[in-house]
Amino acid sequence: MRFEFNGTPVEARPGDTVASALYRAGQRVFSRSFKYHRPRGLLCGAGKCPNCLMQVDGVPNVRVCVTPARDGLVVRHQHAYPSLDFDWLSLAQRFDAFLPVGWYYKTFRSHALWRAAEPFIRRAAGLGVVPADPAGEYEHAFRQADVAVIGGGPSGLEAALAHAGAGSEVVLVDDQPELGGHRRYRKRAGPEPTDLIARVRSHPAISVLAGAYCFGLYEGNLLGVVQPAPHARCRERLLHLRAAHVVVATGVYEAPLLFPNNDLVGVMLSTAAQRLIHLHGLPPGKRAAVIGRGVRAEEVLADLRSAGVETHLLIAPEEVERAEGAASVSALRARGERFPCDVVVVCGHLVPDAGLLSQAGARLDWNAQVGAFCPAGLPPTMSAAGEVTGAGLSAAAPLPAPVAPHKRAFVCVCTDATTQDLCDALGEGFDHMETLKRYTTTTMGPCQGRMCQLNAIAVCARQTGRGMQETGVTTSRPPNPGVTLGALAGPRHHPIRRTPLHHQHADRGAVWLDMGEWKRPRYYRTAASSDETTCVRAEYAAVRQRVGLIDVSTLGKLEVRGRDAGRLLDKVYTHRFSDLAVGRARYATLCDDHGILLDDGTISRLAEDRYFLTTTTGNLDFVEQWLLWWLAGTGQHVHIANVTGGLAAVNLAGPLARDTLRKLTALDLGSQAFSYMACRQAEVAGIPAILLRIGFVGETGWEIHVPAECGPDLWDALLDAGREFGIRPFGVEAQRLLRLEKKHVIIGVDTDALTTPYEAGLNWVVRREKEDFIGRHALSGSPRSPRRESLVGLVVEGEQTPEDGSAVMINGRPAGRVTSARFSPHVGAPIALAWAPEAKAVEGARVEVRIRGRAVTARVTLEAFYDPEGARLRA
Amino acid sequence: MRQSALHRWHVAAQAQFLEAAGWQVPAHYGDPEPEAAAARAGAGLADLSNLAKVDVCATAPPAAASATCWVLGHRHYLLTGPPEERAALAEHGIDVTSVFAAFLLIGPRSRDVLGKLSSVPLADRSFPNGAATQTSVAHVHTTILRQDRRTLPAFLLLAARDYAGHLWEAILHAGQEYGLAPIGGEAAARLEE
Amino acid sequence: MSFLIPCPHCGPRSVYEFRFGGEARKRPAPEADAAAWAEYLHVRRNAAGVQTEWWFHRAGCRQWFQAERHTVTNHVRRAFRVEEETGRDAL
Repeated sequence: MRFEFNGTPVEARPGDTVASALYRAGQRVFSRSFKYHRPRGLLCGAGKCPNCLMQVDGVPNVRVCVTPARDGLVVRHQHAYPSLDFDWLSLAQRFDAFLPVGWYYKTFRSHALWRAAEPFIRRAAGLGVVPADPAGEYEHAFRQADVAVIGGGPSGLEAALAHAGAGSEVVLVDDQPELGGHRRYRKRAGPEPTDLIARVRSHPAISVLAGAYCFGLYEGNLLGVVQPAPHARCRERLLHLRAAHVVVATGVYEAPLLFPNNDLVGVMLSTAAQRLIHLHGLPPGKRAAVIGRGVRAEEVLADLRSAGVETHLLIAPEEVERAEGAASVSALRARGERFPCDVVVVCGHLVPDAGLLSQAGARLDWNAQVGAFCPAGLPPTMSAAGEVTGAGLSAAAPLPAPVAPHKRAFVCVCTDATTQDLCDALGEGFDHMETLKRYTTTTMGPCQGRMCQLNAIAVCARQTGRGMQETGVTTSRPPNPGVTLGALAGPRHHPIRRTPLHHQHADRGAVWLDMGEWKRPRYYRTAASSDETTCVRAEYAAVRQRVGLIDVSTLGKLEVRGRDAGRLLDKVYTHRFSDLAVGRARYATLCDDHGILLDDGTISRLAEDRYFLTTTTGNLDFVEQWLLWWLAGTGQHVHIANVTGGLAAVNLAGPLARDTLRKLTALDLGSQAFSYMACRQAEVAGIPAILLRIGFVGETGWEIHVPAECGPDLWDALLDAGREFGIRPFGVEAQRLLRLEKKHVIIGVDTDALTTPYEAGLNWVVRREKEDFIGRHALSGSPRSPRRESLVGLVVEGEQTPEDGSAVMINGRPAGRVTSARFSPHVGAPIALAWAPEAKAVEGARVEVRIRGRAVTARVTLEAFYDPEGARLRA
Repeated sequence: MRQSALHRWHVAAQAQFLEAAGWQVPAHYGDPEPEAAAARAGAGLADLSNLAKVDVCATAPPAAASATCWVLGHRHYLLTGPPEERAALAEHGIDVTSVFAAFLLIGPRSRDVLGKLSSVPLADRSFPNGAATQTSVAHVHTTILRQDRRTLPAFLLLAARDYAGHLWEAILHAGQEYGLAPIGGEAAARLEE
Repeated sequence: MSFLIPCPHCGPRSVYEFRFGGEARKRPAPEADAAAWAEYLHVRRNAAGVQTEWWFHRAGCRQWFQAERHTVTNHVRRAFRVEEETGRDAL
């Protein structure tokens, strides 16, 4: 197994992490610090500290000490210029006097200065480079369990077996590749729980997710779990794990001790040394100084000696003066002596890893006896097991310990905050733990407080004279550890909706328009031209002069059936529908109780107890919910079915539409027999269809609905039948122009969240004499009572068409806005729908429209621009 | 000839078609045997969009001998049946055969595939054979009907026809790691034997 | 936000499957006075505590129901179909 590090091949053994393989290959510097660019080596070896963040296969900030080594990985250092072993920016520490705590606040008092400095600071203090196009995929998956156990150490294994034995389905999550927890590398702490592991592995009710880390606990016992590389194609899988009960058995992690130069390369935590020895067969150095006391320090000492490391006698934490060395440690000074060494092993504070519990609402109480904040007050759906409760711990060093402010005693290795910085900040008045945290950024770096929180609290408690409990812990929030944005975002599941005629459009050169999730043809390219203006003009001309065909399958379509259907529609829509004759259709608008227009469409009565509703494309879901809401709890007999996907719909329109359709149906299509706003059910081209005689585009036309699976046949049949008449399919752009000439309003485009039907010029749709309907109270006043503004038509002078949204000006001041504008071939000028003050809603009034910064005169018109009498529509 | 929303996809995948109740449905994509084998070992996905479906709103479940009745909600039922029963079943409510594409996801790993696209628990205990539920699958509203074939767990997925292409692709993509294969009607029939 | 809502038909589901429909309130009679309508249209209790709300199971059974939710903890005490309880004001 071999991977690449900064262009050089590195051999790895089975069971190696990237970090252990690099360590074996002699690499000691793993990163450069955030602020001073000091060299940093392995510190925690457990994925808790920021010291080994590297770029792996393009992904920044990967914790290589917990990344299994794999063949072919490409690993690069980050944040060091030019290299880890020599970094120009480490000169920064020479100028530390000029980089005090709160440097940003104190230095960048002018915006201009910050703007000038920002690009340099970002490069110097960054954390890797975000790849433009990350390779591999990210996945999401969902999982449910009766009990989730987090942590695969002895207590987690026992908890899993106990719950499974009681009949629960258990999911056990552990961030290590193998189960066993600390017993895998703390061999002298107790035997490896091989029997427990075997029983867990073979238990049918326990699933084990090893090598997966839990980064947070959210409402409803939802756990965020990341599984790296679950299969070949996938980089990370985010598992949404929902459990009725969560057992937190995350154990403890080790946090450093404070002494000058405690960050030198070679100063490592005892558990990191033990992992190197027992998991990877690597002695951490040749000669070690061990800081610690008690049983655990003896255990570490014994491990080092049996790994062949020469060791000094144990050094108690309070005896340490400082570590010495240039790039890496060369000696430890303690009790007045100098102990030459190449590695300093620190038996640090053991901190219960209680983040998940505290996210669930548990308290953390200071227990001086064990030297730790221990969880208490757990919610009933949570429990804790093992060392995370504080059981069996003993203090590594007294807390709070005496603190001598020192510029090289690092509290926060993520952001290079020292005891000096913390003491300065406290002196400046930031003496509450939460403000101290924010001012110094301690606990806010990649380690999210794991390395620094306890020490920061201790410094704060000592300097302020408060106790540990009173000083208190900062809030734990997910994610911790950090999680990639790719994993959170997951796969690109952006649903696409295609009409039943999608492929027909594609075959004809459709240029697509995205309308929400739908794909609709904006216009069709032809052999002659692919220019939008030319094609749209030709499609427009076909509809006005001959016959055109448009796919309107995206319209929302609802069947409303039942004894009380008419009653419900009367209540919800502003018009009356219980008196609609079978075989007739009616324009329909919906308002809320504020009288605001919500949607429009048509309602046709197919039978006594059967209505067919259409809604605008974007509002179907809303209208269906609105109807169901007003129905809920009434006990009325109404059956509402969304049949949108089941019907292909086309609009055949133009002076020759009747001649075209006549060839395909036996229906009498005469303007008497099948008049404007009538509906029929009949066969068209042998396909059962609902035909509505309506016309959004202002010509003789039929909206034809057929079963979706027959849509392509209908489309082809209509185009065949219309060929002799010069039929042409048209897209949304031509349709918008055609309807604008008719001044037909699009709800939500020409209206907004404050528009009433009266303002939109739709007085006739409101039946105020009805006993009740939604919006009646708000609309009970006269339609002619004073209103803020009206929707009017504008004919704009000159050649330039205003953009949608352009300002309408009166006497040089904005007084309204254009909602839709197009060049009208019929008028021979740009036309628009616009909101204008009531005083200007007069035929022939003059206003100005701002077009690209220039004021252009426009004339108000209240009638439709095209066929105001509607003669062509009814023909 | 009536065609499912995925007809072009099937054609591009070299499907051989057969006719069923006026619909063209894929019989196989070259050879039904490996398709059935993939479904037995991992998972298979079949387009059964011609399945007759009727939406029923009633105080009691409708009695229709030729159909399966599923409970979708309070006083809300769905009848499914063979394509040729469509007209007869439509007597009971609103014919939604055209409204919904229908896919059969079958095989020992079918649950794992769905577990990547939906958050609803589908374990035997909470979702046994014959159960029906509705949820979001790949961000699309989907009716999931558990309808095992012999010993193989199987799920009928109904989603609005206009989402069919999206859902089909999403399922195939999610199922790659489990060896999911598209299967035709012949392989689906073999799995019933 | 990731709490569960126990849909009366589908059982507990992620809140993301639902649409929130606001506080459950009684719509005034058509002939009610302007003050009653103004109250209905513009005033909300905005309780910091348990409130009865409308919810719609958008991704599931697509039915409306009411739920008693604690607005601070998001704990849903119970959820029920409206006809099971008081019934809605007649249309």
